[in-house]
Amino acid sequence: MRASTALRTFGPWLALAGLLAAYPFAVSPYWALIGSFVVVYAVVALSLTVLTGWAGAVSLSQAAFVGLGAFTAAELTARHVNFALWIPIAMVLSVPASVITGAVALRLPGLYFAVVTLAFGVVAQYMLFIPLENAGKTPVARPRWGAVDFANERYFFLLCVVAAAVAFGATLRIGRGKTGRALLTVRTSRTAAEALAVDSVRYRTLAFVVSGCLASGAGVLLGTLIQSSRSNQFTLFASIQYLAVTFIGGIGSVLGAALAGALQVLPTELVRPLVEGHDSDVLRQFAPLVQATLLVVVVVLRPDGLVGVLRGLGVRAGLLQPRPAREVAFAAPRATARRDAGVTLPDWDVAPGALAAAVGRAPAAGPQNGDAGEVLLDTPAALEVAEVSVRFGAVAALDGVSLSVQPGELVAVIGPNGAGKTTLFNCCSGFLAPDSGTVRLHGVDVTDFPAHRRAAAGLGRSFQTPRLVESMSVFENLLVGFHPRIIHGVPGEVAGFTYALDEEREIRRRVAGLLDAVGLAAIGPLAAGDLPSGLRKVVEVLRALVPAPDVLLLDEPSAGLDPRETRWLARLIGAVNRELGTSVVLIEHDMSLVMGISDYVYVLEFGRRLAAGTPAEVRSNPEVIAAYLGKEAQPA
Amino acid sequence: MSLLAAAVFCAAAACAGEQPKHLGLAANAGLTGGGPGGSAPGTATAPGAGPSGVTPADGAGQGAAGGAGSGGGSGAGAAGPVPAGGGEAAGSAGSGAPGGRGAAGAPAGAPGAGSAGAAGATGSGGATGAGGPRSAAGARAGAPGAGTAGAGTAGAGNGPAGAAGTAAAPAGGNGGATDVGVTADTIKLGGFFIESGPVGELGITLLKSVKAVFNEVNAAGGIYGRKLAIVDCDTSFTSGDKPRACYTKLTQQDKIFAFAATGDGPAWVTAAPLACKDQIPALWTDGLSQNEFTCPTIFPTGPAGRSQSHVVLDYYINKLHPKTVGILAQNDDIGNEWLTGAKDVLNKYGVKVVSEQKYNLGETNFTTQVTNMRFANPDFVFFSSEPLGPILFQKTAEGQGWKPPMPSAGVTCNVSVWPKEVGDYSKGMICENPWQLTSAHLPGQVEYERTYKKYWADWDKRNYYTETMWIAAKATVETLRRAGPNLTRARLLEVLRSGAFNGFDTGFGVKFSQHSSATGNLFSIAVAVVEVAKPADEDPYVLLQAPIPDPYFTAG
Amino acid sequence: MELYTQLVVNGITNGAVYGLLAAGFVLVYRASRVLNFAQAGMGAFGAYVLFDVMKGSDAGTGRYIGGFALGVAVAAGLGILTERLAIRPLRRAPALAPLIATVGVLLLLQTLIILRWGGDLRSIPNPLPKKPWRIGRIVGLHSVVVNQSAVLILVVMVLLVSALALVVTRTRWGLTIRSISDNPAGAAGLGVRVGRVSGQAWALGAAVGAVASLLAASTTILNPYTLFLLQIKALVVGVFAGLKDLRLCLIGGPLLGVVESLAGSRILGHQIAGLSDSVGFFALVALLLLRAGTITETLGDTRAS
Repeated sequence: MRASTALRTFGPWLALAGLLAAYPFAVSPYWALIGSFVVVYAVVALSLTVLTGWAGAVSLSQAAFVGLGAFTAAELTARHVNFALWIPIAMVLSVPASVITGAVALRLPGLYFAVVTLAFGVVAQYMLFIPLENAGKTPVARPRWGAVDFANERYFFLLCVVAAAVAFGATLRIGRGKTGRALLTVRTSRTAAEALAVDSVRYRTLAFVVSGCLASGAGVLLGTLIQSSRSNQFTLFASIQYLAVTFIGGIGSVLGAALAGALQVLPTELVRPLVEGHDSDVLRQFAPLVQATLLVVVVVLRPDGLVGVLRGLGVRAGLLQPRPAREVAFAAPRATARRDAGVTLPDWDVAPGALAAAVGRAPAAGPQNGDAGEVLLDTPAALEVAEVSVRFGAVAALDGVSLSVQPGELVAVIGPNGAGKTTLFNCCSGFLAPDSGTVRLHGVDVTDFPAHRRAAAGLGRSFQTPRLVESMSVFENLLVGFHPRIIHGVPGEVAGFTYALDEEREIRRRVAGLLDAVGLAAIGPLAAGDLPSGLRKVVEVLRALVPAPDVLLLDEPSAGLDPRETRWLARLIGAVNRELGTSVVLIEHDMSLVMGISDYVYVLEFGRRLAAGTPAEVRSNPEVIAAYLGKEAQPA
Repeated sequence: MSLLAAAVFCAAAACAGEQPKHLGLAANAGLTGGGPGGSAPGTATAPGAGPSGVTPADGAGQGAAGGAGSGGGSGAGAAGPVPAGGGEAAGSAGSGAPGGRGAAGAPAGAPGAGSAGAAGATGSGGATGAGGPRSAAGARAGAPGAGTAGAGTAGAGNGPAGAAGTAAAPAGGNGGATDVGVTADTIKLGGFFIESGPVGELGITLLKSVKAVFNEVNAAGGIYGRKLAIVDCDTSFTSGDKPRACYTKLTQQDKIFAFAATGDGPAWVTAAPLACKDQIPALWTDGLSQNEFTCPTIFPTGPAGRSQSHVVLDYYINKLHPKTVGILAQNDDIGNEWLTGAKDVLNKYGVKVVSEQKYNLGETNFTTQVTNMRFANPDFVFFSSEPLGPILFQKTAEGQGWKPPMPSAGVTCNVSVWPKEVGDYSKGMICENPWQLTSAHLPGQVEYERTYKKYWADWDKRNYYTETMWIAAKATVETLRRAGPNLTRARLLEVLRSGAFNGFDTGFGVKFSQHSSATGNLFSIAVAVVEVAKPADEDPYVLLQAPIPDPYFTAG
Repeated sequence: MELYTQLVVNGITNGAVYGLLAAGFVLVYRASRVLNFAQAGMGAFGAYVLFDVMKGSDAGTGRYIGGFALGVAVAAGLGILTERLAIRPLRRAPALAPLIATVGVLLLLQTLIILRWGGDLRSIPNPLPKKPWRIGRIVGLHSVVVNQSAVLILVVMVLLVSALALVVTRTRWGLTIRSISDNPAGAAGLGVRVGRVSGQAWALGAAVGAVASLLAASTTILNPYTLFLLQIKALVVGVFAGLKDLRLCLIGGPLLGVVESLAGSRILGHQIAGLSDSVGFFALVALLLLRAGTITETLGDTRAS
């Protein structure tokens, strides 16, 4: 690495490290102590960043995990266990708590998660912390390592900094890697994530476990810092406090977590000279009032917290820049004007074979070139839907619908609104369990498979409204498509094992190649949220085909696209079908698109299959015309 | 005085304790006491229960003054064997003392309890979720009494502290900066105080009490030419972050000479072990934490929680002869401490516990406890708890139309908000009180009121703990005076451990009984018994038994 | 036998407050998909207003009713204000934001209460009856009683929650609420004045919760924190009701009360401290495990997660 690059990359970190190392010696032991508090609470806030910011799950029991750490420290003090083991032990103890709580709550909508964590926190307080305290398990001893006595506030600060650095470093790596991308996708849209083979429950549980470990580790440090552990420090209100402060700092952001640590501690210290030593009663409630007001104001006006404020003020420090996948801002999806990146779709200029090369599939040959209606015996249909019915109350959304897609075929599903087309797709993808009927993928009955498993088995899906992670770049969004192909997990990410780094490098190469192949390399680094809607649609489709699925379900891909963009998309779909051999099923209203590229068309009406045949057959079918096509589709 | 005030603060109370091991403090042993002492109930005379029996002069017979008290209910029961020579029953016997704690009131859930709180936040209120603010952790006096010399200079200058607290600088100067926090014209003392949060309004009166004392002393010239300064640190009635920060701030940043008069019990619980380790003298702390009794540099005051229960129940049982009892106890170390003393006495007299109901601080619904108690049908109910729970219990009981055949007894019903809230239902309740009722208008009490009002306008916010701090501040002043112009920490400790404060008159109708050993100290205050005679009155109590010495404070 | 009967009776009446509180926030949830954590604060504020009206007085009934109405009105006002200033602007934000906003409002209200009235406990002079009815006599269980005020609260709960349920199922306004809760985007698309109805629901929900808070504060003790604890317990009832069915709040409240009451008694000879407070949450977890199948994923990924 060249010197200047090295300096730019590592310079700021080295400077920070130097500052932190010098800090405790430049100030009094008291301020070193305060610094330790800030650092420890920053790690607590970090645990919330992972869970609430990235995974989108609100926890009301973070204090219980912190308390778990603190009481573990107390217990281990009593047993004279070496300090080096405290944090690992506390983390290990936190895992069953997070796994069990997660198992109960993570399958349910997010609100229930909050409620279940609340329950956990209350139960931990009454049935664990209070009894422990009554049994006298409260004092915690500062460790000694050789000549270094950590009762010295300055040394302890350095210890905290080192621990926090590990925590922050690991979390940053998780955030920038496969896990972080997956979590953000889950947070944006669980269905989109599942369609990309991300097991949303598993990932949310993972986030919860990581968060629990961070919090309990911080708890060990906190207990050791205070040198005691008491149940009234770790109550529901403390959890709410952590959440509030993390929010004000900036919930999705690692920097925000650091700011939150400062917010938890510094205001009290700064207000101290005003409250103490004075005979006036004025400021007594000042601080809590300010904090509460600030919280409401921040949530309503600036949900991305202080970090957002700093960005808004144009502060251009490296850490603040929302470089894609570096910092994730917790921002409301902006329904109104986006920062339009001002890019447009270039003309179609894709060399034949380039797509296949980019995605890593040899160009398809032979029967896969989709001669309509030809079925090779012995080869099961790529996708087969048999007699699927779905009822919502008294309404039959689907009534005995059957559909079959041969390998390499391009099939369209058309029909009026409310005909059940998207419902059909949802049954195929696994988001809806049909009341009767089966779904088969290459002959395998996947009717009972969860969505992510079907996706991993080769079923891709794109949605009518794009579900991209707005704060990640296009590039990062596309990387998520490779999710099922990546073997390494959190340990690999954090430790930076070679195989993990290799995998990451490989998928980045592939995505870059794909973008190049379709002529969209320019939009790679842009935040997905900044794209005009047409391009977002395109990216969504690209994301679905990144893992080279066998079957690709596209739900109204041309919705919201202008004619030029539609043509571009049609050519993309065609290339995907021909070169990659992907079977494509298309829900479409744009008849020119449908008739132009489909091998076979199914028509649905009122949940039933009205007609099926080649485009020509369907176009001239009187029932279809009457129900749907109208005069426009009269053969010219 | 509001409910919380009452509920909230810890008196110069004792420490919770476990069974001291070698104290020979078997259930009844605590009652050994030397000498006469207990005054007859009702005779407010000679609240001298204090000194007698405790005179350490010859090292003998310390201990719970027994109390022979004529007439019923002497707190101390049987005069036990007087330990010969020097013994002190490890006075610190057990005293546990729960001492008041924490705001029972604070209902659980004070926001942000415990956290350093952004913006001072909500940290306060200690009450936290579940357990309410609490106080001490089971402290225990466990101080072994290896008989130390009581060395008592008994009675040397034990007069009530007062203007006598000042002293003029000697001709040659006072020696200037003789130790950390001491200069030629200032002595810097430090303390934790509740200045913000839900109970800030009440907590600040404690600081004001101390300042009033110091202001008077300073106005009269100070001590050997040095003015007293109190560096307060706001801990908002929490334990954890704030006290930890305050500890380091006071000791390493403000560099105080000693801790004096701590006005925030739960906060001190966090800091006491640290103060002990750093050997910074801490004067007149409330003794909520066990560590305070096993530390030679900390000087906590009593009485022990178990002593409180003990005295009350002993009196009660002797007077009313109940056969069965139902107990309502708060589920924490303090509640357990009170419970220990109670059970000692109940076992001694063979009174059967037919129902024992525990509850976590913050609970407001007592229908289950009342129901269980009612169906167990005890002769009377004993409240081993801070006021809030019992108040709600009694109100609920009234709502269920139940009253036990005999009046109830409790350890914290001496705070007037209790009868005020409960009304007639509480009439006849028998409670402990650490000192003479305010209605006695003793000179010390009069002076307290006069001086406080001189400096501050919130006399109506004062509470029981404001008095405690007053006493603590007075004792501090006297300690510094006795230490002389060459003021060092070592000298201070010497003075304190010499037994000089034995018999120190608090001015409120009781005197300290000191107990110091190689490993710890205790200054016990005697316990009185009062009755709720007229719940609706401004002053609902009458004295049933004048203060008698701590029964667990044995010689021996 | 009598003991357990009494405990059950206690539980039923204790649960009245839970049921009312739950009804309040279930209504708000249906109308806006936000869980109103600030409800306890709004109710507490109203209770303190009542305290101001009643303190030092002779606790006359007229005065109490007036103060009560005022307190409820204040709480309702706080509900509308919160909806307008803190919730409506966040309609398009992820679900996390309004939740945090209500938490912020709760903290703000508690701080304001402490500023104005101090943080210690107060009691509200009130004319509510304090005596018990010896209902057990009817069936020969002479020791079983029920406090008259407790019965009053139970009756209020049943009437109010039933009325609320009827409003939601039978009136046009209620239809609007239901359409919003089932399909917010669709409702807006059909011209439903979502914002206005949402505001009204917040007012009504806060008012219902305030009724519970004021009654609880009048019969026990007034303090900003304990009311929040009741709210937490009421959450369990809300979940039991699926955050949807108000009639289940009617049953769920007393049910939780009974479970807690029994948990506080001797179980297998021992009384487990802290169990009565925790048992509701164990029940919550069990409930969710059982219901997991019926709480479906929302495909639209709107407010759900």
